[in-house]
Amino acid sequence: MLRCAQSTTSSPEKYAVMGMDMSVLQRQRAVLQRLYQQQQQQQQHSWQPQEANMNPMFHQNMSNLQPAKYDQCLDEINLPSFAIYGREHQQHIGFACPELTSASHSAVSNNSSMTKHDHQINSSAFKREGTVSNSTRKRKAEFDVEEDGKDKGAEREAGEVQSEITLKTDRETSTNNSSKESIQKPDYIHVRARRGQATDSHSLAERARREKISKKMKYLQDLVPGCNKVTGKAGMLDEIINYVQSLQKQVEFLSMKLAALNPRLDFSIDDFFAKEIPAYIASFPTQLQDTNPTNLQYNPLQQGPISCGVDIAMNPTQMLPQKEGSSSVPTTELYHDSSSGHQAQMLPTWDSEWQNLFSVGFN
Amino acid sequence: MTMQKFPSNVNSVKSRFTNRFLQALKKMNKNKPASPSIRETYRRYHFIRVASYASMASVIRPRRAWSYATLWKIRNRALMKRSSRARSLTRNPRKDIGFEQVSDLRKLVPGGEEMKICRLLNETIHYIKCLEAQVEIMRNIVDHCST
Repeated sequence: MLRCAQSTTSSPEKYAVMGMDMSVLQRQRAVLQRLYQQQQQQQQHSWQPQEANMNPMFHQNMSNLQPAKYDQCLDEINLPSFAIYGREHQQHIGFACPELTSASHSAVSNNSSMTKHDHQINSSAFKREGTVSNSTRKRKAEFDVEEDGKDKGAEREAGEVQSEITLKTDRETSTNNSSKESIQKPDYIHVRARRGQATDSHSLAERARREKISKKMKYLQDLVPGCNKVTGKAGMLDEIINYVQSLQKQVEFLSMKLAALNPRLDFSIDDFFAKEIPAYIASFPTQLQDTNPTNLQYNPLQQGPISCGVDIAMNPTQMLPQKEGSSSVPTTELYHDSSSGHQAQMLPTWDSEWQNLFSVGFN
Repeated sequence: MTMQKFPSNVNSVKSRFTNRFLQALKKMNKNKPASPSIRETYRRYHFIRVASYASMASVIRPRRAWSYATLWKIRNRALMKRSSRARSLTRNPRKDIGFEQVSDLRKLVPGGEEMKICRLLNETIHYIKCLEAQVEIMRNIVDHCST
């Protein structure tokens, strides 16, 4: 393990002897080089005496399994490459997992300056190799990395290690927040995971997607009136659906009104084109306020149809004096109309109603 | 295609819609004499409703999924008017990870049948904004004509 730390400048033939895959290691080592330029000064002095002892200690201590030292060792470990090294060894030397971890831990037990979350990273790496002890379970709760099992490609491992490494550096520099930042490698998107959440690539994508959806729901909440009181996606979706339905019903009603108004339409339209449109368009921002009261009436509409549904079969004209605006009345009627079905049935009664409306006046 | 959530120039959309809609109304009045019979009123109502949706969708161009779907539906309706009405193809409904309301929303928003939820919400936002503008303009026209 320590050899790996020092082997940022070491020759590749060590690994060639072991028969390693070079590309993955080279990439990992390149990243590690950049990371540990800061830390090497601190740790070199503590590691150099260990370097000579590494190999013999490693083989000697295979038999000396000391799980009691595990906690101590974890506190002292400060090397993500440890995970790499452990994995490499597992792949190419074929040591059993538990033996490997405990042996390498005992080998490193003499190190002093280690940070805490590095051992968490290591614990996660070891968890991936299948070793679960009580101490790892404790730390797993803090830094939850999913176990994917042993059948993964090398690229996946490299990617995860790199995501862990960036997690480590990010934690060192700034506080916890989740944001996407891309570091040197164009292959990987480095996402900062929040504390206690999985760093699996799938779950990261899922989380990004969920955040996008929630952002859009918040925007919709501002758009749809009356959505502030409702919380939760289901209620908000209900409100949105109701609002879209009411808007469509309003369009239908207004088009029906226009159709009824048709005899007078010819005269007004020409005037409209000639004079009104520039002034009309200029007054758009002010007219937005006019629509708000009708939008506010949208909410009572939901209770409206239930009561109006009884009346409408009897006499639609009775509803007229009950409501204030003329536009709100037919919307409730239309609300019920859609449920009753065909609109042509209502036309005979509507015709008389239009006559009443004309006589009473829209204002 | 830039997925804009809102029409970037709402006022220009409104003015364009106003122009097109009024032109459609004018054309309708020229072709058929205005008769107060119920059938004519109903026909006019149907035409006006389709014209309002069509003019809004044509202002937005087929840039958005819902405008494209609206225009496509109108064209199909015009094509199939004379021929016998063919049943709409029942495709496989999109399975939702979300709630049941999402399927209702898909039916409401034109063209929302086969979108993912993320895109469906985008389209809903844009559709709501355009619908609001449409309703506002139509109401203003009605108020103007009635006075």
